[in-house]
Amino acid sequence: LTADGPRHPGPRPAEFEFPFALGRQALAAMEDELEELEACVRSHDDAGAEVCAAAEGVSATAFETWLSTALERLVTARTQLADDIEALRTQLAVAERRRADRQQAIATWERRMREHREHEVGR
Amino acid sequence: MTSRTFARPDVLEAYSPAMLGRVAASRPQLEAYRAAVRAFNAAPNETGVTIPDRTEQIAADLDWLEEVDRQPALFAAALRSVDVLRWSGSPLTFSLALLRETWGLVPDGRLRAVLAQLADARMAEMTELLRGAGELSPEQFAARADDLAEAFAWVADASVDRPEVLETVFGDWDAAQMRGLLANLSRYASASDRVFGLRAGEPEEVERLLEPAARALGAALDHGVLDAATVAALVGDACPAAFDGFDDPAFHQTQGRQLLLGHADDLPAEIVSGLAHHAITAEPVVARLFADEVGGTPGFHSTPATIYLDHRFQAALDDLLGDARGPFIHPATTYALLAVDGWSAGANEAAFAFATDVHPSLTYERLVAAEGIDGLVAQRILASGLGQHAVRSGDPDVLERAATTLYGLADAHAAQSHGRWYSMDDGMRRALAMTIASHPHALKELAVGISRRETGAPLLVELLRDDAAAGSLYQGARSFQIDRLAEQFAGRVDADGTVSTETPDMHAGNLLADPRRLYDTLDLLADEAGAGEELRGDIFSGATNLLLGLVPKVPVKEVAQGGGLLVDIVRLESELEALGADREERFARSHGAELTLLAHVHLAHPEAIERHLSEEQQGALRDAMDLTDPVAREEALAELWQHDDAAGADDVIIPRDNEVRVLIEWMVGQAS
Repeated sequence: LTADGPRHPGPRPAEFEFPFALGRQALAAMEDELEELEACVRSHDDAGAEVCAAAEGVSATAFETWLSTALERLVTARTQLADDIEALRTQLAVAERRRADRQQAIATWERRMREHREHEVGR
Repeated sequence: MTSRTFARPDVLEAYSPAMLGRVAASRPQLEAYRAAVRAFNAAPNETGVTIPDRTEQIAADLDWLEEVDRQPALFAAALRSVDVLRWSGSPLTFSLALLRETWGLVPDGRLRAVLAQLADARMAEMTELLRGAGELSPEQFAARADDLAEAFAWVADASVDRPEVLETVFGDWDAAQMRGLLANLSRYASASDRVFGLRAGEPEEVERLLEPAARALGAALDHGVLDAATVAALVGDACPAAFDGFDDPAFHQTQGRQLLLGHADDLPAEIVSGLAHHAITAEPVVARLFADEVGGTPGFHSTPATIYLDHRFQAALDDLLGDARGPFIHPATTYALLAVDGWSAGANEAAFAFATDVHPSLTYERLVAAEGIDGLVAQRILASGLGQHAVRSGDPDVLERAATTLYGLADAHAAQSHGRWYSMDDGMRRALAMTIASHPHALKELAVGISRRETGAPLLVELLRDDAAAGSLYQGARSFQIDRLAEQFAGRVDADGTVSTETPDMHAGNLLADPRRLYDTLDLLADEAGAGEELRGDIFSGATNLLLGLVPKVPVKEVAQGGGLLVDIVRLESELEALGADREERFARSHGAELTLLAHVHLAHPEAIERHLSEEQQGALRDAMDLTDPVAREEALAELWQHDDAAGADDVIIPRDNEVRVLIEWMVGQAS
């Protein structure tokens, strides 16, 4: 506030730009993929154990080793995916806060702009 | 064999479709994940945050998992095919091809053990097929060539990681089975429309069977599952058996051998030499072929070389013969080369058998005259092979045959070289010397010949031109002499150890091998030749000086007759100078013989030692004999074997009035 009344608040802050909907969709897809991988590993574990239980000798061990190697790769992917999901959740939360802050800044700007206009009309 | 695995194909068959379905079910979700991530990353976003896209990696992981998931069904199919084929008698190829295909699907080979065990289920059938292959008719054998090739290939491949497979497949074959297989292989190798009315034995078809067959048999031989000598002999038997009754058996034998030898890289040397052995035992036939066909038929000319020499032999031959090689190679040459270069004991045996079955002059003529091989090389390859074989065998009969052959060869050489003995190769000198020295009869014959101034004299002189040959003769002669003395001593010892010096029966023939006797005989020749005393050397100074003493004593009359030696005065002088310094240090040879005989008596006649030596003397003798170093042992024995007046007051000696000593000294003195 000056002697001439409320000052013009300047340019209006831009809306916060972030693909919240797509982010949530991606998060859901990642969580589904995570579950899919876990289910895949689980079913292979179970079925592989059944095969190996029906087998004997070194070749069963060899198959088990080969299968577990393949599944380990999926487990690694699952772990990476879980980290990705956690990171995305964090980013979404951060983005939400930043969007709220931005909305607060816009509301403040609108109030100051309104006050400024009212003062101009009164003169 | 280890236990079978995956014995329940139903479990395997259930696994693969279920798990492949599970993986397939994951794909749409993966696509949804991919689309969502890409959409997010493509949207406007002032934070700059993106989501890592794991799609490609997960897709690759799923691909890998699918490969794993397919295997059990493939194993199950292979397993079921085994069961089906076991009852149906269907060709082996389907199952084996399936196994190979499955094998090929395994990127890192970690499932090879699984597949190998599955293949083990086929082993009984493959073994049965291979074992029965020798009983098949030519037509049946040709018809099953693909099956046999598959079976051989499987055995050869599997044996790389699991040699025990060889034992299972080949472990208990009998000779007839192996002979039959080899005969059929040989026959198949040379099969032609003209002879058998079979498919034409095209090279690639033959190759397709012989290559894996050679690999499998080679592996079995390498691992000792098959006995190399037996198989080599069977190859020799199999070749003629394979071609009995055909119009030109020798031709087809050689064709079969040629083709088998083409795989010599895969076969151990024993089997190759077995083939060569057969070739030589069929010598009259081969010789006729040379005469009737090889010589007169253009285009056939190169065949003999390829029949007997695979490229390994050829390389060795080229190295050895250089430009001396003639237009084609006689099998005798191959043999001699095999023997010289130590390819195998079997080859050496074959060389010996060949060379001693054929008159030496004929052998020599073949090598030198017929094949244009340089005479020195020819005698070297024959003499070295024969000498090495004879000495290694240690068999008196073999030694005698070798000596006879070598004498003949030496005579042939002398005739060929117009009596120019000096051209004899040192290798031949050594071979002759080793053979003669190893065989008492030959040694005695040589000595008798010398004493009568027969043909043995120039031969001995010739042999002594080489130090190593002279050494061999000297050691052999001394050993012979000691043996004879030991025999004589035994005849003088009673059961209670009493010794007798009365009326010893020292037949002159027992002492003929005495080097000094040889020297004395040659000394007479030297006198006749007018050789100077200064060049005769020292009789007691060992083989080299014996050589130096003898070589200059060249019968001049023999030179005049076209033979004789060239005396290398420069060499003699230099060697005399080099050896002169330590000549005085050496024991007199008669003294050395006494000590050797003392050692013999100690070992062979302890009752005589106990009777005639005091306990103190016996202890000193035992101590001396217990020394492991030969020089120290000889010195200790010499300390004990002293004259009374040379010994110190406290020395333990065997005095001159001891009966054992008297007898030994007397015997050695007689021998000298």
